[in-house]
Amino acid sequence: MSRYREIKNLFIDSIDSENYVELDSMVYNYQVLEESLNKPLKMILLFGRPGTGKSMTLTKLYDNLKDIRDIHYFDAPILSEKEFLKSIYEAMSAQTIPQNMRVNFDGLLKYCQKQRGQRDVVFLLDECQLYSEALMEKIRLLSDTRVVKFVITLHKTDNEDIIAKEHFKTRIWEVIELKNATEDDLAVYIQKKLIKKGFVEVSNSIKKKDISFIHFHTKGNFRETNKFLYIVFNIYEFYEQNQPQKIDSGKFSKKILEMAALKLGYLHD
Amino acid sequence: MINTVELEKRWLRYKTKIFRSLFFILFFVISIPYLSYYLFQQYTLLIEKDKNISKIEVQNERLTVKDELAPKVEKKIVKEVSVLDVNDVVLAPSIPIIDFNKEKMIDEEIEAKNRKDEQSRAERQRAYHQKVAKRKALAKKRALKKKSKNKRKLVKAKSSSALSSNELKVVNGNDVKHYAKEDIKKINFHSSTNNYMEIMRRKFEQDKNPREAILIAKAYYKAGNYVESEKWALSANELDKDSKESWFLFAKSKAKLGKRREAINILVPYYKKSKLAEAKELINDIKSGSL
Repeated sequence: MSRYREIKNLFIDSIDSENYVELDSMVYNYQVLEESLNKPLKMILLFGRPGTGKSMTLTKLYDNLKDIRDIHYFDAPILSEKEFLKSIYEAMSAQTIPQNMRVNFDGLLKYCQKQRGQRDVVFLLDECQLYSEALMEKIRLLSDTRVVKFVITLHKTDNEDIIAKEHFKTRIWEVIELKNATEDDLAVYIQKKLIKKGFVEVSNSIKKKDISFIHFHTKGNFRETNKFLYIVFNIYEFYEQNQPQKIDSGKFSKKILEMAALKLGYLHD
Repeated sequence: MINTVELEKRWLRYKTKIFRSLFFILFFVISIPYLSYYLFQQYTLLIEKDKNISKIEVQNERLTVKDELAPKVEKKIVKEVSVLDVNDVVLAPSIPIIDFNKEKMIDEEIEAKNRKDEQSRAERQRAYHQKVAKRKALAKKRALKKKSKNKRKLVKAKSSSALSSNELKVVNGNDVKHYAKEDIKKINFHSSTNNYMEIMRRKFEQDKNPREAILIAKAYYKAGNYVESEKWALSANELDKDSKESWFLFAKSKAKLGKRREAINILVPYYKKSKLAEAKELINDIKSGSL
């Protein structure tokens, strides 16, 4: 397999916890989140702009705790209330509900209340901005039983930020905000990713000015950075196979960076 | 796999664009100092022009009236005051800016006119003298003719007649009265004005009374010595700025010296301040030339 194809695949956007890169800021946020789960909080809000690592953090949390806690992860939003309640019940009772049956919400509440003091179940809900308000209300009522804890993620966009704050401001939650990476964080992120898979030479060839160029265009967004570097190494792969004289393995090509930026629309010809 | 050929073309286009932009930026950066230098030069030229104009103005100011007349205001006269527009003059006992060149030209014109007048007067006088001399000569000739005629008409008497010798002399026409040349009493026409002036001058030097300066100025004005009357009016004004006579005499002297515009420019601010009808009247007189 081509060297650059391997590197390219490193930057495919995935929420595999194996790809989780421990950055200082990420480690801090993760610790806050883990500690919050031990507090008697009903709900924990994890929010930030798309691509700031919310899903990755939830995945990492789930993978780390799934063996030691009663934790369940809903990586895709369940928009149907019926399906949502069914999924909650199935996760808690470890029973499968037949297709033609549904879970009664009052019944679910009573089920939770019965287990009060005996169980501490954690549900990780990703992309919660897609849930209806009615369903969010039910989530809140379920969390009031103190048997179920919810860690929810919300996209922070210019409008949704206000919605999120308005909707949840009356609840006492732990709020963790994830931000885009700084230039230094981004350098660490790229280097760690490459070194982890043994591409030390490539990692060393990426200079500060290259990182600055990448950060300038991606604004430190992990998803954007992954996309950008995927294109970069895709071009490298092409040259490696077709015109190897055009690439210098010791020096990261500015031309290829600019070509990738053109491809993604960061630059215009 | 990615279409790298197409991407390379786009990259070349992008680089050309960047290079073009950089070239233009560089061009502007280089041309800015040149442009600034050019503009600076133009600006310097303009300033020099302005300086020359203001120099003329300052000269005019100095020539119009001494700063004693309006010491504080004179320093403040920076803005251009139109000489033609009398109403624009600032209300202050100050002499506004006057176009020195124009004034000079007017003076020269007047001088030339005066010279011409004087010449024509001298010519007329000469002609008149010649005429008088001719007439006299003619009259003398006639008188001689008449005398000889009369002589001829006289009857010669014999010496033995009863006429006395004196009578005979008369008859013979030899009795020409001989009048001894009378000593004409030379009246010493030392103009009493001069004496008066000296006295007044001495008195003024002792007392420094503005009234005396005004009297001297008046005397000079009456005598037609407008240069002196202007000078003395100014001295009076230095001592008493509220003395309307000093203002009037100064302006009148100026007007008589042909500096009418200057005279008006002096009187207008005074009128604005004092609201004296006499001042307005004098302005009108100077304007109409009926002074």
